[in-house]
Amino acid sequence: MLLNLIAGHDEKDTTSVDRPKIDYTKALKNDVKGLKIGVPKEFFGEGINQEVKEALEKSIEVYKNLGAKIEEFSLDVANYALATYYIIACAEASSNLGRFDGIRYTYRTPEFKNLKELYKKSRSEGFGDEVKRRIILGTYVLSSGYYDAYYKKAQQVRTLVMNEFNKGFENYDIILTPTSPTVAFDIGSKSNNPLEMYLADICTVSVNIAGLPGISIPCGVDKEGMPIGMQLIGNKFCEEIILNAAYTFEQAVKFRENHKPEFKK
Amino acid sequence: MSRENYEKIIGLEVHSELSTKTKIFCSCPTEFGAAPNTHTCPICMGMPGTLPVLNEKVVEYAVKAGLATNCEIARDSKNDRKNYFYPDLPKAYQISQYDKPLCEHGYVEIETEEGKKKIRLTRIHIEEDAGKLNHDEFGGGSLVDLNRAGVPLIEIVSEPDLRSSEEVEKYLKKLKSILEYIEVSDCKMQEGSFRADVNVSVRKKGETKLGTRTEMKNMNSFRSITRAIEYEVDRQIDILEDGGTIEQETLRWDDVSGKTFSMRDKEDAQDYRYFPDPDLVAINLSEEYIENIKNNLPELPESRKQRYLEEYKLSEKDANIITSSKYLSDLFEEASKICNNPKAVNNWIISDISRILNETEMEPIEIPFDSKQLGKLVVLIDNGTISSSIGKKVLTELFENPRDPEEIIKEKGWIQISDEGAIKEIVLKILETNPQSIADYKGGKDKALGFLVGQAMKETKGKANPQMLNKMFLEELNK
Ligand SMILES: [Zn+2]
Repeated sequence: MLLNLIAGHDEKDTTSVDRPKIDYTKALKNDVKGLKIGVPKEFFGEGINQEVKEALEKSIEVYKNLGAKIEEFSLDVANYALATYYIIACAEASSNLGRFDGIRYTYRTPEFKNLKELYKKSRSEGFGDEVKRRIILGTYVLSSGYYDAYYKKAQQVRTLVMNEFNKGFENYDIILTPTSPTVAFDIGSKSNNPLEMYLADICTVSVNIAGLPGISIPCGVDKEGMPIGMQLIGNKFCEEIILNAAYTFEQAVKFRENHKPEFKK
Repeated sequence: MSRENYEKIIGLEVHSELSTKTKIFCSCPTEFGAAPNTHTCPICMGMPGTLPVLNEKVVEYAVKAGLATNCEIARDSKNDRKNYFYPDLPKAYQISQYDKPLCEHGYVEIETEEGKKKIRLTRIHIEEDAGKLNHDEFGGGSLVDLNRAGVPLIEIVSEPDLRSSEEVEKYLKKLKSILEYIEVSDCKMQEGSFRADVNVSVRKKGETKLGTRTEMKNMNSFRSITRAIEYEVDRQIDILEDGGTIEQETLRWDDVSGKTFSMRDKEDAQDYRYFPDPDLVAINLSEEYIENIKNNLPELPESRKQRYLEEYKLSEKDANIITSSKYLSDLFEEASKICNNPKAVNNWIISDISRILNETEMEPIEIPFDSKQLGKLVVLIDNGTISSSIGKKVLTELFENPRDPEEIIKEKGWIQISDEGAIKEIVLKILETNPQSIADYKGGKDKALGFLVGQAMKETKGKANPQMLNKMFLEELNK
């Protein structure tokens, strides 16, 4: 429903693409017979939690039984995509967040001697640790002398990642991966190890970097009842295909009826 | 070693506001002089979550400027972010162009004593202007006015090809007139819509390596630019002569003290962290688009000048003065059409109008009367309604309170006395009161006639027709 509303060209956003609108509710056919699904083996290798892996394997069986054609293939982009994502996203964030300088927007420090101090104190006091970390990282990769090695390189790698995905879509309608290599961790439990925290995004950022549509749906729970996610990635503007595949899967496993959400105390 | 042994090397970065109706990335008006922050919207105020949309007119105007200055036009260009903190910059970055400017490798020709000289242009790119800080008269702080934020600019960067402040002035005037002719900028220096950053260095004559340069920011009058260059050149030569070295730094020119002051040095040099603006798409121009603009480019000053030399037989010097400004040039052509006397219009512009502009430090664009009124003035003189000395008074009146010249002379009672009876009456009266002059004239002193005419003019407050006076005095004296 929301997608139906936001789809299409926005004349106030020149980066949006002008294409005919599609009614996505008509895409939900509850049928995946003949659908070609590619499963990149690199996404199931090192670092993946055993329970997550088993849940995904079961889901793949579900698709097989529904008549989809499943095939394993090689798509070695995740590590590059993760690095690329953090360089580009932090660079943009460092620039986008510049406006929160205490002049017009956001918090202003109560005491300052001059303009420089107003900026320094407002931004040091106003931003949280993770935001500061990203601003510093982003500022670094855009600095003169480092731009070519980081930001520019990241944009080039981004093109490579896109090309790899394109190759995959020559053979498959959908690429199936875990949403995250592990189940959700407790809030704050990895604040001291941002790298490990960033690794949790490894499966999803590839999609953002490549500019592809993806959908994440629950496909199981671990021993403690934490939900496990499956990600379906489609080619550019193939939202209909992944929506239908997700819908068909849900109708088959009735996940929601079998698993009531539980919250940790 | 004396100053003559040094060569001045000057390069300019000129910022010129484009006269598009709306701003570069939103639809706010660009008009100057509105109440603070009334020409703003979420986009030009840099509200979080807003997105810029490039105004196509800005690209068109910049391409026009590029073509008029012999530049190559980029088929593939883009917008980049220049990141820095300043209160007049609400997003903390300026959207500009970094490594792919719209126009490159052009030149502008100026006339020097040694003949024509080409000043090479490195590039012309588009960018948004920043807001303005108004230093608060009440509370000691500064208030931000964002009306100017997002007004489109072109930055025209020259190579260090200029060798004197005279050349700089000629170059700026030429550039200004080109931009006026192609109607992309009104170049009002006082409003800051045409301003320059001036880079100055010196080196000993014969040397090929460039010296360290200093940069003076945001200069907006020819006079201060000339003074600042002279001052800065002297300062640099003094330092070198004393065995010192020039620091690369940004300077502020102070008009009152006539000195430059350091704003920030190289250590403080900002890293602008340029990168392509992810909110905007590449600017791709087709051959057809560029060709179309090229074919519709208005007549440039150089070709207008040639036309004036041939069509109106103006002197080279006069043609140069008139074509240096599009406004003067338009005034000349339109007024000439009305009165059919281009020679007279030329004289008015070259002498009286130019003099008044100089005295009042007014720019041609600020001339308050129009070509119709000037044309009418010439007609009134040509048909004998007023004398040319009354014409000068009418011109002064036109500058002060422009209206129909016919109305002015009626209102002021300046209509020339050309009635034979009335003139005769005056002549007789003057002769009666000046018997000595009559005697002088009869004694062979021709000068006496001039004196009598002068007296008659004085009597009529300049309204009597001088030719008729002359004629009638002669008649009476030779009786
Ligand atoms: Zn606006």
